[in-house]
Amino acid sequence: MKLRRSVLALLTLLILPLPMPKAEARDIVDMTGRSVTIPDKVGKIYSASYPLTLLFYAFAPDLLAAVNLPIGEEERRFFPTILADLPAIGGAPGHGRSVNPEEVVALHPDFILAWVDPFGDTGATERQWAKSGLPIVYVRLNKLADYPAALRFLGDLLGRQSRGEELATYIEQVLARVNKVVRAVPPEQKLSVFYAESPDGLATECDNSFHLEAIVLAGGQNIHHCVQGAHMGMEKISLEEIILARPSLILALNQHFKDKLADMPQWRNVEAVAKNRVYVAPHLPINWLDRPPTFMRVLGVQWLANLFYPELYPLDIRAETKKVYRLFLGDDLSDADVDRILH
Amino acid sequence: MPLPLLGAGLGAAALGALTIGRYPISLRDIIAFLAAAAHLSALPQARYDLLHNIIIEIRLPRILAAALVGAALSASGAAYQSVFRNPLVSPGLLGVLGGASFGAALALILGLGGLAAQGSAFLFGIAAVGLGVGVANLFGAASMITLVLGGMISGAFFTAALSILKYAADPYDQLPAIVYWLMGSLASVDLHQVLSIAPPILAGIGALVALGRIMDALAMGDDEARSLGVPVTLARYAIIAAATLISALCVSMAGMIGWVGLFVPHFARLLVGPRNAALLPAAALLGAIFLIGADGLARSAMRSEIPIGIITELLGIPAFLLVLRRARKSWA
Repeated sequence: MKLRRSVLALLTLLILPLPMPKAEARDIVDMTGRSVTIPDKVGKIYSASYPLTLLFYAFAPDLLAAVNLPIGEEERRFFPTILADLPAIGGAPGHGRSVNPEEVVALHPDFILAWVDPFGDTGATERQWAKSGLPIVYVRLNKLADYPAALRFLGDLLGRQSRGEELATYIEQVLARVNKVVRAVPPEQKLSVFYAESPDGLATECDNSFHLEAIVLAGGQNIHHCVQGAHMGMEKISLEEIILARPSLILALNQHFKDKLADMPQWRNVEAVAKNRVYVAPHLPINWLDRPPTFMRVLGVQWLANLFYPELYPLDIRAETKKVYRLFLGDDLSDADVDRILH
Repeated sequence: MPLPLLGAGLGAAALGALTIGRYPISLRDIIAFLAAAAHLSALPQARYDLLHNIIIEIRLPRILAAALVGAALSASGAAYQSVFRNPLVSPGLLGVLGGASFGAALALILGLGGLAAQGSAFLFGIAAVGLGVGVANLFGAASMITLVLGGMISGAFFTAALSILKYAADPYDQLPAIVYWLMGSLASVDLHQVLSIAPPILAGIGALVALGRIMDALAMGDDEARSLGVPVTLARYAIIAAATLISALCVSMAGMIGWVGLFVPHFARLLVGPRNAALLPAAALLGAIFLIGADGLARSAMRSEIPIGIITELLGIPAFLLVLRRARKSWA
């Protein structure tokens, strides 16, 4: 009898609607058109995609609950100090360190942000996060031209409209300015460019690859014509093919290739090498061109447009560098800093 | 005796490979270049320089490297197969590939350039075999079975260590560089490098050939070999050392190139029989010819280079099936 009563009491307890201190929620539509319910007041978010997380370094570092990858010693001083205290817990699987969903739940973010990976499967990402019970909001961020819309979307989502607008406007202005100049260049006068990604210089990208978007936007004509088939890129090309394609300029992803070039006399008949037109992309604290693909391309595009067409696109690169680092990262660069960034 | 025939075949393959590539150069260009190089006729300076650039500095090093790597992998594969008395053995048996991959990845993560990656790959390839042999010795005399197990353990250890490095690498910058290196290629080999790596590789192949008769004795079984006066353990270590040295040099220069060391020895056995004194040079020559052909395809078939490992595997599998069909009788 006693047992039955306690069972009854337990059942009643279970049926009773528990008074839950529930925050006000609202429905939003994310950038893939999915409807998502998120809390009205957002405290912290977790970004599962590194390029998106890096955008938050500039847009709203205080809203991040964690970062994906540890920030290097050399890079740290360029980023907002608040980031130094955040744990590095990894990101979406397939890009290096995979995050443990428990780790995310333990940080109590209000929701998860992820980019629409051009080679990924949003359905799979969604299923992966379904177990955590956290809503997931997708942001389209593949091309630099997607950034203004993404920044305005995030501004509305997180109540940071003016910051979003400020960055979006700058990116739009730059793209419009560069586009106008590049459109005026006749196709036959476009500069042919070879993009060297490995120390031996023999890894490059297909002309439609997102990895070299900045080069295309700045009006460069990539010499390697093919279709990007995988996320990684780094297509192998033979030196004979490069000599044959006669690039006017070589862009190297990092310093290794340029350093090694002195020991590689077999490159001397490559037109750009013969003319000493080999340039290395600045990489502090984020590469201006790619790996990872980020908002820094907004500066990369201007640097390249000026490099490719100095008469059509005059630019004080030092002043523009200071401006972008100030606007996006809040840095006051000294002249020595600018020297270091530009090598 | 098919050895002189194979030698002639290698020469023909090398000359033929000089004529293929992405830059259009005709046979007439090559003859004109050779004539100019011998001061028999004249070519405009710029044209001569371009031809020299492409023929001597781009194509020749690759062909020499392909020949060396093909010969070394095949000879060491043949030596391993006979020492371990097992037709399924390849040069990676004792963990050299796992160790070399780890070494290269380590150098790349530390931000060191290509040459450091090669040195590190070589050292760790040797270290991995050393670890495998060391483990084998822990369990008493280094018999064949403990050596195989030691190699498995060493290979698994370095593969796991490589996975840790890949996990720790920056996925947008370092990881693609590691994957790129591991795919293997002869594209960035230059003449100086080939000429400095050639003497140790040729010496290693020569040592294996010289040990051919001892291998024949070992193939009959340890006791039989001992009764013939062969110092079994010492001989086995000497063969492993030579084979490891040359395969580690190959991996450090060209990355992972699979299958060659496994199936070329079978092909050679079909041609010259199982006697190692003839088998080893035949395998080396055949392997050199095969890899020159595979590399020629890799660098000329498409605008993008095809990773050579893919070609050796795709060509190797049907060739291996053919060999198995012919060789089945002798195993039964």
